[in-house]
Formats: sequence, structure tokens, C-alpha cells
Amino acid sequence: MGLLISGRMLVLTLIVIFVVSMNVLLYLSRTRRFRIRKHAAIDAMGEAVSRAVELGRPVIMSPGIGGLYSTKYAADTAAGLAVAGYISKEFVAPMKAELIVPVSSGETLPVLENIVQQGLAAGGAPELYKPHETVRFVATTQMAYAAAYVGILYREKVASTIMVGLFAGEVSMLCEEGARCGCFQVAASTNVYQIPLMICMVDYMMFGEDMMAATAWISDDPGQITTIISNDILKLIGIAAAWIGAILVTFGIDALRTFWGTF
Amino acid sequence: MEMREIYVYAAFTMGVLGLLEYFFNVPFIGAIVGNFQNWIVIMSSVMLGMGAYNNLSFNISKIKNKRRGWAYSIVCVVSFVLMMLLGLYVKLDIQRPEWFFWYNNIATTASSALWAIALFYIVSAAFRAMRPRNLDAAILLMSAVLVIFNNAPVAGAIHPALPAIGAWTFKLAAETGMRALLIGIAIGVTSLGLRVIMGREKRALGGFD
Repeated sequence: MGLLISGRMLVLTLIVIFVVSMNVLLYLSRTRRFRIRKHAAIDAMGEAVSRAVELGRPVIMSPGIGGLYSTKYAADTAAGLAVAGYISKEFVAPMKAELIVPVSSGETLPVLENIVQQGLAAGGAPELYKPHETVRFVATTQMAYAAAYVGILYREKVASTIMVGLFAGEVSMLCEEGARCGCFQVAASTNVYQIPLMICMVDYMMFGEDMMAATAWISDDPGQITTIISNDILKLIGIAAAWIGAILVTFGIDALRTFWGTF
Repeated sequence: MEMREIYVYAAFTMGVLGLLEYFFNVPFIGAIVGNFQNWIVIMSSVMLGMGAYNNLSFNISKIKNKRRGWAYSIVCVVSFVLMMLLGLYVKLDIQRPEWFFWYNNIATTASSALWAIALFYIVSAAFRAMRPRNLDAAILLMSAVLVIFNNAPVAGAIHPALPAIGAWTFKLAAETGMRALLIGIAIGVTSLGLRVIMGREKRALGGFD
């Protein structure tokens, strides 16, 4: 049995390229400032909170139904946590809005409580955080979560919703009921099966890697911005590999696939 | 050392060990990561208890203050307590009929009903999407109609080529786009994961400067 586990070297190579390019860009960022395009949905988050304040109604920030222990979806939840902190500090606290964060996984609850509480305190309004009310644990199963979310929408007359995290089959219910309640909705998802539905139902949408890039953008940290540029370098490598692979396979040469399949 | 720095170092250590365990065949690291995974299971259960406490506190306070929808909170608290007592009665064996009967006939049935309702939400959303307000929406509408041709039997009756065009749109055009999106997502997830491991992503750990 060798030291390296076969079949995983492609991913390792890409990670090494990513880390190296990120560090090179970090070094370069000392002398020049890299910029990335701002996503309209990030501005819309502020608009969502200000609309809620104008109407005197709460705003919901949903981090989705994912947890932090899922190897596949933890990044989605992490993005939701980062956005929850961002809107708490940048919009909810300065505008004195009422924020409701419905949570579906046990392990996310204490983290979110901490993030929202700290965010509101950092924004200058620690009194806006109400224990067991601002961040609410509602249910672990997706349809029970959806029912609780819709209940909050109607009972508390929510004005705006911000959804960033893992969403699955329940998303049609969450977004459509939000639209029926007249909520201003901003959403982000990486679930390719739910993205088309969300696009139809919400006002602003970040999909795919935009959601992950948003967490870098809101940080305003040059180090994080460079990771987005490193992403693009990886994507260029991916596009080049796809073209080369397609051309080679067209001419009956299977070398590239065989090479990565072996390692 | 600040508490947040401890989180960052812990995330770095666990992340690097997890990566090493995934890529390299080192039994020692495998054993450490295995232990961490056991901790995760234990901590997850403890935090679920915290969730239950949070939920009960909120609902009891709502009943006390007779806030809007407080009657629903009574249903929630009573159901919670009854199911918990029932769980203790069956000694946590959830396969026993005394427990399973209530779970299967209330929770599962309600969940199935909600799944059935989801269909109407999708139809409603599709109806909203199928309005050609601009060029992009018109292209979306056209491709949606083509995909419908793939599934609707009437399309074959109108012209035999229509289901084939629909199938091509679904299998090639849609799937190609989806794969491109998936590659982007995979890179984005990797990037976010590495940012957390390297301590760059502080907001996900509750960092505010």
C-alpha cells in the first residue's frame, strides 16, 4: 500500500496550485490592490434590511437546512454564517432592524448565536439581540423547517428575507410563500436543482460559486479577494483541460483521462 | 491569546489533518481523524439538546406573553413533551410500535402532505417564469417549452421531431450548463474551505475587526 491514495491526486494538485497562486497573489497584493466585481445581490441585502425598517417589520436571515459537520455542504452553511455576521453588523445594527434567524441544525445554533450577537455588538446595537428569539432553533427536518419558516413569515409579517446556505426541496415553499407575503427576497444557493426555482421566485440571486465569492467580498480583506482570483486561475486550468481532453478524445487519444484516473 | 485565535488554530489543525487523511495513507493520522469524527457525533447530540432548549424557551415565553400564534406554541410544547416522554418510555428504541405509531401517523404524514403541496408552488413559480419580459426570459421560456416537448405526449402527435429536440435540450444543453456550474461550485467550495483552514475567513468563526 503506497503513501498516496490513488485517484485523488488531481484534487491534490489543484489544491496545491490554488494555495501557491493564492500566496503569490497575496505577496503581489502588498504593492497593488486587486478588485473583484461587486454582486448586485450583496447591495440588495442592505436594501432588504432598510425596506424592513421602513415598514417596521422584521427581516429573516435563513442559513438553510445544512449543518457544519456535513463534508459536502459545510461550505454552504459557512457562507450563510459569514453573511449572517455581515448583515448583523453592517445593516441590522446601524438601522436598528429586527432580525430573525431560524436554524435547523443543532451544531449551527451556538455558532450563529455567537456570530449574530457579536455582529450586532460590533455594529453598535447589542440590545437588538434577544436570547432564544433572534436566533431560533425551529426543526431539524426540512419540511418541518419550511413549515416553521412560513409560519414566521405570516405571523410576524416579515418584510424581507435573505437566504444564504444549503436549500433543497423545501425551497419552493420558502421562496414562493415569501413572494406571496410580498417580501423582498435575496437568495443564494449552490444546489443546481433548486437554482432555477429560486431564480423564478426571488428578487436577487447569487448562484453557484458567487455565494462562496460573496463571503470573500464582504470581508474586504485583500487576502480573501486573492482567493477569488485563484479560483479564476483554477477555472482557466479547468477550461483548458476540458478543451484539450475533448480534442484528444475526439482523435481517440485517452491519455489524459487514463493519466489522472491512475493517479 | 484571544479566543478567536484558538478557533483559527483549531480549524487549521483539524483542516490540515482532514486533508492529510484524505490524500495520504497514514494510519496514525487516520486514527486521529477517526477520533475527531467520534467527537463530532457526541458534540452534535449535545448541541441538539441546546436546540431543544432554545425552541422550548422561545415557545414557553410566547405562551406566557400571549404573543401572536401562541396557541401553536402550546401544540409545539405539548407535542415535544409527549414525544420525549414516549421516547423515554420505549427506552429510546424508536422502532417500537408505541413510538413509531405516533411518529409515523403525525410527523411523517404532515411532512408528506407538505411535499405534495410543493408541487403547486413549483407550478406557480413556473407560471411566473414563463412570461417573456425581456430577451433572457424569452430564451428561458423557449427552452422550457422544448423541455416540456420531451415529456408531454402531445408533442409527438404534433410533430415526431419535437420530443427529440426536447430530449436534446434537456440532455445536452441543460446538462452541459449544469456541469459547468458544478465545476465552478466545486472550486468555490474548495476556496472557501481553504480560507477557513488558513484562518482567512474569520466571519464564519465569528470574527469582527
